[in-house]
Amino acid sequence: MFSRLIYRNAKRSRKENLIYFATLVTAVASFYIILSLGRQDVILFLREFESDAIDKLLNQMPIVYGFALFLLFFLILFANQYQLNRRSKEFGTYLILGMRKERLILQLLAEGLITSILALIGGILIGGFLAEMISLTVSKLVGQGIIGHHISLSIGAIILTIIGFLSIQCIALIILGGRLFTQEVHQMLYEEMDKKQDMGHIKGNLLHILIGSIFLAAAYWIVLYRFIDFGGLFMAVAFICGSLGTLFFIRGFGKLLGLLTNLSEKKSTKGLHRFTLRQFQENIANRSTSVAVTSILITLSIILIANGASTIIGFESSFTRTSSLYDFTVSGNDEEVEQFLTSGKMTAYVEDLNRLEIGRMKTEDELGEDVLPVSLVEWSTLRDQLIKATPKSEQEDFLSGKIQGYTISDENSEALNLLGTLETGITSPYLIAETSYNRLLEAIGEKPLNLAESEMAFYFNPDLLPMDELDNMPVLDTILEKAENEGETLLSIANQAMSIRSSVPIRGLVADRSIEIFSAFIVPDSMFDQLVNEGTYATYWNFRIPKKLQDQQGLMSPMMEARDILMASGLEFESYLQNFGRQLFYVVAGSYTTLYMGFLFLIIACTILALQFLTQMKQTRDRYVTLSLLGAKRQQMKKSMHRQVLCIFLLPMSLACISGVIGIRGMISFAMLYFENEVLLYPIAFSFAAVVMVIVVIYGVAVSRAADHEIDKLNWKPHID
Amino acid sequence: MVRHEKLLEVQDLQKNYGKKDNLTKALRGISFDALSGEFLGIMGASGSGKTTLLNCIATIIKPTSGRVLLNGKNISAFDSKDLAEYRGSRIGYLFQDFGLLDNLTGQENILLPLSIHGMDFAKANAQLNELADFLEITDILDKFPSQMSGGQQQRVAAARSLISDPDIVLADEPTGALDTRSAKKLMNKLESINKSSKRTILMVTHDPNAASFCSRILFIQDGIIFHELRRKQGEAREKFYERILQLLAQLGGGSANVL
Repeated sequence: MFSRLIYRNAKRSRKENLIYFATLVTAVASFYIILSLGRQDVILFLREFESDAIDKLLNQMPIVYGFALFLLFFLILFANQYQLNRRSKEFGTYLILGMRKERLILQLLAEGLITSILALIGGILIGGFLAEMISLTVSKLVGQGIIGHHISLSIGAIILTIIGFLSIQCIALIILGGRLFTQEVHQMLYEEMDKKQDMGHIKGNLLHILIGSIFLAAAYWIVLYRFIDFGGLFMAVAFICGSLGTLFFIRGFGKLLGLLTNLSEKKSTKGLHRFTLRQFQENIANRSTSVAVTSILITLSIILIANGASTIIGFESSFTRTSSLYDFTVSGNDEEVEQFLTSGKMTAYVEDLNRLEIGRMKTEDELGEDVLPVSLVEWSTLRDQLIKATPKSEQEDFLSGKIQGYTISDENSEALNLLGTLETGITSPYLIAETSYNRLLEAIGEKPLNLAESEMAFYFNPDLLPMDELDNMPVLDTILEKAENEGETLLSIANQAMSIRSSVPIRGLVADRSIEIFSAFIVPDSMFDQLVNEGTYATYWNFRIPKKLQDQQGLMSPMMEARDILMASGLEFESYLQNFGRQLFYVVAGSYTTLYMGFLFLIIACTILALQFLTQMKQTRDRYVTLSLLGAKRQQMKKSMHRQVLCIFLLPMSLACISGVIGIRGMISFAMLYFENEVLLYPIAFSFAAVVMVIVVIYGVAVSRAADHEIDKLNWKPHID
Repeated sequence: MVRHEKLLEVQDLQKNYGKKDNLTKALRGISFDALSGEFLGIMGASGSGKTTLLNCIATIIKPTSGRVLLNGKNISAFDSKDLAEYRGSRIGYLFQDFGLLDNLTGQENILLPLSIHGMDFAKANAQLNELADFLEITDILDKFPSQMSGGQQQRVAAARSLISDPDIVLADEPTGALDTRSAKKLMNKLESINKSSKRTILMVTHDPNAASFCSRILFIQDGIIFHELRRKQGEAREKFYERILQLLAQLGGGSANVL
């Protein structure tokens, strides 16, 4: 008998209360998704290149899991509280019939267990499906074929999900059950909305709004202008100010809504307009704290989702290879490498083979060990010209000695970056042999340099030095062309005046980063041989996957095949895959957790709003009975209900949107967020905004339908004699 | 003369609850008329069917058989749309628990039926002031129900039931939750509204004191009318009260509740 009651009650609470059950399922699915991250295709793929970084990332997952557990605990607590509130009359009846409270709580736990098991099954299925979808989508987005697909089902994740979910569900029920213990039976039988209407005084409310606005303004100001001062301390200050501001603002606003009802006398007398406003006011004013919390959660969610989205956009733009040319770079014994790369196994994969010679320039160091090496390069004329070409403000800072070290960044002018790049390496600059570079130019379809005997060109590393275009550097080219026209010497090496070629196309020298240099001098081969410091001389064998092969099979799969062959050879090599993998890792590490948290916050906020509304709805059910006796049609009441739902979602949302947009602006202006790729910006921003909207709308519709259902259930006989 | 028009005709009203084996007959064929301008009381013990009768008239529940005619229209056969038209506009309600909305001010509560029915507000203000003045609630119009006493709340509810100028006011134990003083004040107000503006009032009660304000009282037991008391022309209320008590004593030993 008892077990049947438990079973029936559990079944009824699932049926009657879809939102409660859906919340539990969502919680389970969220746990599973975060826990099964290690089984995602992308992660498995990245393990091969960046295993340390991936391990570090996965080691951080328990923290994310713990945090999610903590947040979802409150969600579960809230959902259960709502559910118990709905049934408080029933519990009162059990107690009046003589059921002991211990028994009642035991029964609750048993019911909770049944519901939890079903929620676990549903949640793990949905979570598994979502994880699978995410896994597939990401590997599709990242590159067809390179990432093989594995079923992401993870037993460990399932077990941890079950443990985590059951424990928070259990703790929540025990806490709420304990509360039942202290409640009077009367309270349970006749639970009612607090009748007292605390609308506050107008002055006090205006003060709240004022204080709230001041806090919000302070937070916005910090975010927009002082975000990163004091090592991020101000970020915390901004967050606290923003939260307090939201709290005060919503508190004052809720209570002031009453004024609004009096403002438009005409409109307020139409239909249930005034009633709707009062219901809304009651909901906001009596629960301003939780409404404010949802607003803060939505703000955080908007910022986190924007952040995650920007990381994805960043990846897309770095994935388009602008400066990188070679797919593989092999180093080691020259003969051995050459033999291997031209052997039958490899030829199919090798095109544009280029033996790159590089080394540092000798210094005038014959004088003795104690003296600093003296450069063979004399470039004071060029240096002066570059200083002249910097903008006024930088020039003053530079000449007055304010700028001491060089930071190469895209905030500086081109001239200042060049100055820094050249000056740091000038004692013993890198040299590149002309023929090596000519082969590179040939590979991209450019003419060879054909340098004259005393001619050179600058090479700048496009990965390290920000440049607008790879084929020309406007400031430098102007200086070089002017000097050439006027026959001026800008630079000399070992007392030999050099002329400098302008507008040399620039590409990456190797496949990834076995050579990390800022700049180099491209010089004729004879000069290279003469000036190069033997101790620093090195060769790198670069090649590309043939174009034909790429057209047939795409870039990634021949690259993986070539990689496997090279691995087997034991030669030292690097590939573009590493570069790609690293970029991908940043994206995955950066976007996965932020997006996850963003959506989690959003779902929690929506659930709180939804449950809060339905609780009020339940507690004020009598009002709708009265309304219908006064002649209100069901349609009229439903319309009022839908308006209430709309208002209740819109108020915290709109404040959150303002705060969120300002947060995003702040992060953009302090370079925490990049939107490099403007073409992708709009589609991605739009699709994320759409997903957010869809989530909110789903909640809104679900709440409206639940409310409609309540209205339909209103019977016409509130009191039966 | 309007006074003798049949405003409300209840014809052979029956209401059953439950099915077959479990059938409870709450009303077993009740017929009576309420004349325009009458203050009709219905008395009976708990379970006598008096509230079922009122609910049938109030269109809150549908009778199993029989008809309720208001101004000649069979409102017991109305669909929900027509019902909504009648409720709050043609029929005013007064409940034992007042039925005020806690989150609306007194004034907003009173005006609610008008806004629900989209009625003209220009006239309403004058009417509101007049009603508030008469019911002595002008000072509390901007208060919320929780800030009013029970008597004040019931008078606000009374104002709400009258604001749309209904044909009939149905009152279900309006004094049930009030102390004696507030109850007397309310009944005085209702009586004078009935007298001065010829408003028809149908009141269910088991309080002989409240019933003594009526002009006619129907006694119900086990779902049928078994007696009727009429207040004689010019009879003092106290006298009528004595007669009600006497009847109750004859019927059940002195207390209305034993009946």
